[in-house]
Amino acid sequence: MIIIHFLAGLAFEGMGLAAYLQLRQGSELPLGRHMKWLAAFGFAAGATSWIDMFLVSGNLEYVQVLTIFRIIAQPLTGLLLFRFGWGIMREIPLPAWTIFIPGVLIVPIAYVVTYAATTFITPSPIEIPVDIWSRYILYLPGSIMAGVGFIRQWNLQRKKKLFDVANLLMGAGLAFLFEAFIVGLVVPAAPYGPTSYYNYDRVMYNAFSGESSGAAMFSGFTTWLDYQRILDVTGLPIEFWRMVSTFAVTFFVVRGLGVFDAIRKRQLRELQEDRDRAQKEAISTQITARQTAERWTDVLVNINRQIMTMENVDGILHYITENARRLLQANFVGLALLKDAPDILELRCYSIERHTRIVEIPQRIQNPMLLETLRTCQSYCSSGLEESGQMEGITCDLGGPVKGFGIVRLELDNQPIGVLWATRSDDLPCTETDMIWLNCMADQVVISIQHGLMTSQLQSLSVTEERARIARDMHDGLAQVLGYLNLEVQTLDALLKQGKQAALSEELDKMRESIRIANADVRENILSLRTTLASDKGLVSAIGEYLEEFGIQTGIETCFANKVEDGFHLSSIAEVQLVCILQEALANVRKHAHARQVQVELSRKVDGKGFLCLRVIDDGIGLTQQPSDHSFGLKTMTERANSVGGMLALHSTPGNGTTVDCRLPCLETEVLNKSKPLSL
Amino acid sequence: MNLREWALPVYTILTQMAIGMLLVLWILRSVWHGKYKIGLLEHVTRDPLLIILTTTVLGMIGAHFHLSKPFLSFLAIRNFGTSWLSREIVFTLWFFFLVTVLWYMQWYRKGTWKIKTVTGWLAIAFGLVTVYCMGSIYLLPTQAAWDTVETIPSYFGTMLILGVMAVAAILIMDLRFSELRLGRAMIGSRMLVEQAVRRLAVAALVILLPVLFLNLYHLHNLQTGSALAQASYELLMDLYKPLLIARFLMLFLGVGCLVFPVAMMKRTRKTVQEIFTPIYLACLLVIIGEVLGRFLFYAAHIRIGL
Repeated sequence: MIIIHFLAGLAFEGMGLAAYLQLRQGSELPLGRHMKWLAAFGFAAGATSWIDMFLVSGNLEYVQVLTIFRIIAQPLTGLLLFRFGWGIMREIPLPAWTIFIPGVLIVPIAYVVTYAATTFITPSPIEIPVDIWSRYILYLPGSIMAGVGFIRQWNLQRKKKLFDVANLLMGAGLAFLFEAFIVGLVVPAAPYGPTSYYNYDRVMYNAFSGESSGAAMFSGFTTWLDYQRILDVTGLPIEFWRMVSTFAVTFFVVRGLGVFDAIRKRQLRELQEDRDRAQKEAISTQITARQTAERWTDVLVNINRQIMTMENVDGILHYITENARRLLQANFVGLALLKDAPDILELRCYSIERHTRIVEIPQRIQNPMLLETLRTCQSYCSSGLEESGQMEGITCDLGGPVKGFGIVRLELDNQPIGVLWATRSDDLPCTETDMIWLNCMADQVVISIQHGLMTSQLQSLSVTEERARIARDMHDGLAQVLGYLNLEVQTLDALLKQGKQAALSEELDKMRESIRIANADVRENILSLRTTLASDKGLVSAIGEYLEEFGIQTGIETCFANKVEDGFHLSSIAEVQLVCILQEALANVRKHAHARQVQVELSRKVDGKGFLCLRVIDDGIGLTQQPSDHSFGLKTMTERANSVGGMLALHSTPGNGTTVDCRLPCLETEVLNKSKPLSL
Repeated sequence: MNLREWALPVYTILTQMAIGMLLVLWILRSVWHGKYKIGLLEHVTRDPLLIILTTTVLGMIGAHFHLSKPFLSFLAIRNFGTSWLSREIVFTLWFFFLVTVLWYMQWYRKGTWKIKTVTGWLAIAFGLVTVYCMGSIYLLPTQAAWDTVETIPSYFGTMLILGVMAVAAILIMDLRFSELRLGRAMIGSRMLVEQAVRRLAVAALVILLPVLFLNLYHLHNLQTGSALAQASYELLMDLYKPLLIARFLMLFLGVGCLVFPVAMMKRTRKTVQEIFTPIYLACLLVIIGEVLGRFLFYAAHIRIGL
């Protein structure tokens, strides 16, 4: 018996220590709040068991003191168990109706407490009622509540998939329920109810008939409520079963405390997973943002290339609106420009899912939001609070329903020239980033329009310049020849009147020669004009045709060698200048070189960046003297080459012909690649 | 007292508590009328009426365990003209019947405000008569400890103190239940319950004084009474002295547990729901005190003759 009490006490102390260490370790888990009560219960229960150990040892010297300690320790232990059970049971919120449980139990509790109080005045020793009622009133409900609390924890951890720990918690719950029976219900014999019913009186009394039905037979549940009966049936004293119960509780509770570590590990794992997930999301977002930026950059580069190559402005606007709609995931993008008056806004270009169009028939914009944005100098991003009337006509009846939109004003030299806007029919909100991109597109629209205007001005200037050149050529060539012929005609008239036949014939030959030269000049000018303006044929074929015509007209043998195999790309201005330089060079050959043959070569040089080389080689008399700074033709050729970033050189020695060497820069390969149509 | 005899305190205490609860609730209802909306009052008094009915039923069931032949209990009403016990049973049944009707009307939202008010007061009237009958049963010349002028007033005192304490606990319990179940209490109900609990705390303090006076006066009468009365007094002061002390202690502690937290509510900044535990404890202690008192009442009698 001493060993039994010792082991039971040891088990309880161990459980108290384990709970205390867990308490010291600290935990943010709600379950941790009750560890102090579990620890206190373990220590107190251990102390009670060890007091029992000393009491059964038969040392009578300190019996009274020990009995007093036990009278204090036992209800205290029960109270601590009650407190622990109460806390752990309520740890997981109970259903609302359980609020009424204390209300329902208040009267039975009051009667039990009162009845218990009355038993203290019976002749039995005080430690007996203390033992009995601390078991009935404290141990029994405390153990049941602790058992229920652990079983509820089992259910909770099972839902969290901590199955191993959950099973231990279930074991702890069942162990506490066993403890409730073995410690809370089995009480020592006493001369008052309810123990008297199965200890002493053993008389069954029918409360309804008022008759005695003889001695009570032990049967069913009551069989197990008596110390003696437990011993009779099992052959082992109640103390042994209590020790078993204590071991079971200690084992499962101590092992179940692993829930703290398991949950801590799980929290760490969840944190790690959250961090990994966040990292993946960040990377994914970065990739998406980069891809978006790349798509936008591609489009912007392409627009700039189109602007640089002076493509048609309408084509550029078409491209801008189409790509803006695609990249902004909009259902409609519109571009409207001001016409004549400052408040007349007309749709110029729009893009919807089916197509993108340049508007040929003017369509006036009357949406108040668009007009307001035009008046103010601020972009507008929809907030979702706009009234339906404000969005009326925003898609010009071309797009679907509108849920969000962004509008940007177009400005040229700080003056409004129109608006660019995009609408969405889905729930995707219009963000600040969308507005930034829309502003970029608006800038491109303005730049393309500005370039269009400049190109137009440049073309006018070129026409004027060409007219001046033709006038100069006519003045220097045809007008002088005609003036000379007029003088010759007067001379012929005088010679004819004087009858000088030989002189007349000589003058006529001179006149014929002058007319031939004038005719050649005029033909050359016509050829030049035709070649320059017919650039749509392609540069190489234009040069070939020109040389062939030049040879027929002048009788100089021409030879064209195109050594560029993989093609070349010059800007359209550079192509024009190249043709002009070739014409000037050939005109010089015809006029001054007395050449029989002229050779034209096109080749490509790679010197850091690519150059197209034009070389004109004649077999004429060469330059008899160095060309002066005032040599008008040479100066014009050099200026033309320089204007497009190229250079021109002249090589000649008297009697060995002349070589004109011109280099013009080609367009960058990267630019060319990026200017290819995007595969959308 | 053996276990069978405990059926008597069960019946008397539970029935007196039920009557006291209905009386206190109906007084509050009358006080609240005009200040609060009727819908709110109906809501607040709904669950307490169920508890009153349940308490009455439990009391009646408990009473049967005291009878030798419970199935023949109805025969007791035959002596209505001569027996206080028969009268007690009849009036208890009337009280039970009216409380049932009242609960039905309140629970299923039947009847008008006036009908419920009248029914309630009628039930209370029968309840008060029941308590009077209960007390009169014990005015037996052969029982010196019972046959005193304090017996009937002390029964009414028990009825009042238990009614006050139980209604305070029930109102808070119901408020908490509403908040948990619905996520919030009905608008105004928290203020109403708080005011009610404050008034009930004052009422408990006021009722405690006559109850104490009656108990002390009863002891004095026993001490200075006949030889039998003195024998009862000796019994109380000897064998049952710890229980007598415990009875007074419970009563003081119980009322203190109600009054003190309510008085400190403003200072501690606690809501009425947060002081439920001490109020529940107060109610429990007072019930224990009253059950002990009733136990002592039955235990202290010494009979003359048969």
